[in-house]
Amino acid sequence: MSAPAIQLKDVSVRFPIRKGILRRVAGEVHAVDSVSFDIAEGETVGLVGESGSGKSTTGRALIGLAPLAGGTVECFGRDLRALRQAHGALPRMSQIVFQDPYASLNPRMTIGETLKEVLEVHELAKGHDADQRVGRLLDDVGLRRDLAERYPHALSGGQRQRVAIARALAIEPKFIVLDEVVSALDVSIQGQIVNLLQDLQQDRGLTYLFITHDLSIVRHVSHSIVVMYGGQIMEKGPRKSIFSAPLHPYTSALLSAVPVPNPRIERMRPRIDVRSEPPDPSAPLPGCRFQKSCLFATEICRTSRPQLRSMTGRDPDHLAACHHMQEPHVREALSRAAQGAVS
Amino acid sequence: MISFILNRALQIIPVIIGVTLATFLLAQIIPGDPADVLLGSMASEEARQQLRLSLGLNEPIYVQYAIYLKNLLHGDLGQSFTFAQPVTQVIVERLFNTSLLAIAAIILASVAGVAAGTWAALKPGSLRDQGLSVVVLFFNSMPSFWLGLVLILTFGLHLRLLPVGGMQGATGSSGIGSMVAHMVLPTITLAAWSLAVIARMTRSAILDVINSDYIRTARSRGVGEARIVLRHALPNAMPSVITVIGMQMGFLLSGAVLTETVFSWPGIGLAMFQAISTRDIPLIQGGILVLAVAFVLINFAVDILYAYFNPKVKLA
Amino acid sequence: MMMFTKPHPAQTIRSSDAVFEVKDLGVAYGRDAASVQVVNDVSLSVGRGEALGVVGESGCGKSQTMLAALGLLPRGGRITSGQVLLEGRNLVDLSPREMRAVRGSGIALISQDALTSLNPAMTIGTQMAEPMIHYGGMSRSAARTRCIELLDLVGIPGAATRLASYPHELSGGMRQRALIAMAISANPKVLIADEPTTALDVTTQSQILRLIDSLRKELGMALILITHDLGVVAGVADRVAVLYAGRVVETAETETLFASPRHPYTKALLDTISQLEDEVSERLNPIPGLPPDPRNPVQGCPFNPRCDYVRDVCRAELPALADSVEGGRHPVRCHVDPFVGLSLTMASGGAR
Ligand SMILES: Nc1ncnc2c1ncn2[C@@H]1O[C@H](COP(=O)(O)OP(=O)(O)OP(=O)(O)O)[C@@H](O)[C@H]1O
Ligand SMILES: Nc1ncnc2c1ncn2[C@@H]1O[C@H](COP(=O)(O)OP(=O)(O)OP(=O)(O)O)[C@@H](O)[C@H]1O
Ligand code: SF4
Ligand code: SF4
Ligand SMILES: [Mg+2]
Ligand SMILES: [Mg+2]
Repeated sequence: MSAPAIQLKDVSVRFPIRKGILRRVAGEVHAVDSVSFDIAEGETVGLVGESGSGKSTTGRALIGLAPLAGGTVECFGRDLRALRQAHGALPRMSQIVFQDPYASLNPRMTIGETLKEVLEVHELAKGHDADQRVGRLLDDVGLRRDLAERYPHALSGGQRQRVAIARALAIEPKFIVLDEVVSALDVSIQGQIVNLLQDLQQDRGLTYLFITHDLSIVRHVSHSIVVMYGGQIMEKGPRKSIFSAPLHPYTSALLSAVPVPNPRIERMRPRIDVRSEPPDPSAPLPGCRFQKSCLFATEICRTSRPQLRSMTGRDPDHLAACHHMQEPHVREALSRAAQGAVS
Repeated sequence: MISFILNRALQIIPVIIGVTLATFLLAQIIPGDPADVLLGSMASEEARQQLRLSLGLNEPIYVQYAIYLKNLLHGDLGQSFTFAQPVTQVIVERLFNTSLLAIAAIILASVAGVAAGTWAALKPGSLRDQGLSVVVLFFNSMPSFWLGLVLILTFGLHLRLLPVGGMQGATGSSGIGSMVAHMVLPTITLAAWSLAVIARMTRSAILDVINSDYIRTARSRGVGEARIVLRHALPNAMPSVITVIGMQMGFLLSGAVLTETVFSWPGIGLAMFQAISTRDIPLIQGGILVLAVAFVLINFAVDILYAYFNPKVKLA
Repeated sequence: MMMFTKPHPAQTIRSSDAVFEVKDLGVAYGRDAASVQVVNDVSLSVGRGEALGVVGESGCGKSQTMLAALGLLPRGGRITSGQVLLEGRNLVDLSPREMRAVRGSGIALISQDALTSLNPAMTIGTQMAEPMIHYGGMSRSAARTRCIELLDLVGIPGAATRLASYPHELSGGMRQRALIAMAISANPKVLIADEPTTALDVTTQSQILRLIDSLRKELGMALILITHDLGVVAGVADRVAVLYAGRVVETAETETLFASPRHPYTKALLDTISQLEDEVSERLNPIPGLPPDPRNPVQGCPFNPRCDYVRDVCRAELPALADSVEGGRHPVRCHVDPFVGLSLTMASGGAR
């Protein structure tokens, strides 16, 4: 097996909490805590988890936008720290498409100007040539060429999101972090963008980290899945076995929350609710991060952190971090929920 | 909040040191014998020698700076030959007058500017809004001394409604009424430019905010248009307005020099004007130092106000 | 706590007399030659306690329809035709003052982006209570009590202390709950939820949807749920209206629509969703082409450039929204109506 394109080993990211109006550090947010996973070249890893679980931070750490408090990241065999030293090497290798197209598009620049600026800053094209490339980029993401003259505010939410994708594609990177890129799009356009992303992946061998809370899309685009909660990995493994038979109670709750586009099934199926607030990342509890919301939590969950491990008799690549995942009553409850979720 | 204030206060110190260095160097770069420069060419040889000694002009330059700083700390800014008084005394006497004018002007500019900008933003595109833009353009394109002269001609000489120059203390024979009367024209002159800028900024900041989702939320719950602008849009527009007001305070200080000259207002500005025409270097030095320090302190105050109006900065 | 909740059977609350009706509504931006029609004769109706799902692509005019109904069109937008009826009263003719009184208590809105829809410079309590005190004639303490009651109702723990919080101190889900509490605070007859969960993650989405649904049933509000997620509609709506290019192209009861869609656009949408479960290697077969642009309206049926069933007549004439087969219960705007037979024979089958 060849070395993975992207390799994370025990990656941690912490943010200082500053108190009392500026500057004094009062604590730390453990946004990402010892996260390890690989992305094979030309493949897609889907990163899922609820808001604040550390997905975006992981993605940002991967392209050098968040400081590593620990661990290592290797991009195509080269250490991230070394890549950051070499001027411009990192952005040309990896790009990110941000979650929020409103915030990342300059409201005072037309779409065409925004795209052209990227091409010119990275010295990929100039003048008339750049205009041509802008036109093709707009074609690529399914926007009419005349939109180049519009300002972001004159586009619908979906159109804006596609401009953001076009901007990342402009630099032709090898690895792209896609942070919630299709979540705000319509089903028909989601389908087109997913196809586009997959075509690009096949044609140019692109590697993706696909961050989303939309489990139906992630299911279609990902080769493998990583599930995060409270900054840690709860479960990871091949797409198929995660979706058909999740090992971890959190994954199960997550899957059961996805609405099924069939009124009969949707109204009848059992659901697992996650009731409590998400864990406080500035004061991580010892033991399992999911303990406060978990139906199966016991004493050991409050004291010792469960390690990622596979389950006997299952795919050895499918790992989950739960003390009780092997136990029959847990298995039975989860498979009942899974039947509702995977119709 | 307290630690924020302390923090900002600490940041001011190096700036102030820089200012003293600059004013100190001002005397050094002026060509000729510093003693000449400092005393004026009329001084006697004896006075000159005494000054050389007391200033340590024969010492190396860093020692001279140390002496300058030491004198500064004792409140000694040298002697002004134009006024034949210590510079400190000249400035302290006039500082109050300048502050009075500047404060009156900034209050007028802020209150009237925010009010006018808000009033225009209530009905964007309406007649009143367009009227305001014309007034803003008018004030912004007119030099303040010219406005001052126009006001003097119209209200003072032609209509004879208001006094055209000088200043009257509130304790004087004619009381507070006369003091205010003397202040009206200079205050308007000094405030006009800033008033226009603040009005324009307030209007555009409110209109920026008025398209926000939370304004739509408030409207969708039946909140009326006046409340929308005053209670929802204005507070959210305040941080940018305050920043502009802060910047205007700096401009006001420099504007004061001209305005005081036009109206013979006995402030630092007028003294500076006189000092410059007579090459009274110690007074120029002292004036610049005081204005620069005032500028720094004002920015400090603006930062704190900004934090106060923006809950996110406060808690960050 | 994590817990299993009981499945609840499909429930259809039907009411013949519509509490809220939009009739042939048109909305345009700009004047004369620069005029752009973003909503073309949209007609919708929702009965007391009923939940109407409105689905459609981005830019098809969902939000503009609702903003027009509330008299909240941004500068430059105007209603060009039609009526908005709340209990039979036409809102389009009301004065700004009368309209203001309708907002909040007649029709309430949960608008599209939860994260930016609360005033960042006001505490939750102040903004919640504002209309109660200044327009509802409540005393401060009565308003405070009511706010706490509402926050409890929408499941915000520690309601009394939360009133003093600023929006940025709450999580996204909490902010959405606060917005819901604000929307229902004046007991509206109609609640319009414009993509209420788009900004939220799935576990929160599922809770918020069930919250809205149960509030609707408890308080007897009519609900209009706008979304682009057909899964969301499936769980909550009694009836669904599908919008395309500023027009309704199909309306039906939810089960019927999912089991036997008749409009080619609806059918294609549902097909795309079911393909998402296929292998990664398989390409999706999404609806080709671009969503319609109101600046360049299509002659004839607006779906014709993307439709697999297009005929000559589709390029010439705009089809009417009509139902000749199912007794008016399933109107479709299509000349060809290619799935009409299936619709009748498969009426009892599932979508998949
Ligand atoms: N720059 C920052 N400074 C301080 N804390 C931060 C910063 N960025 C993120 N965090 C915190 O780190 C944690 C993880 O945030 P992150 O944005 O990675 O979550 P996410 O999984 O992407 O969530 P979402 O689905 O909402 O995008 C959160 O608790 C967040 O508040
Ligand atoms: N202020 C405006 N000026 C001009 N056109 C506008 C304005 N706001 C919206 N539009 C146009 O009106 C059309 C309908 O927009 P609307 O917001 O109703 O779409 P939507 O169905 O709610 O889409 P989404 O799912 O993206 O929210 C779009 O084509 C949009 O470009
Ligand atoms: S380790 Fe314990 S608390 Fe964590 S998921 Fe497993 S059972 Fe639940
Ligand atoms: S009218 Fe014609 S183009 Fe339009 S949906 Fe029906 S078949 Fe397709
Ligand atoms: Mg994120
Ligand atoms: Mg919308």
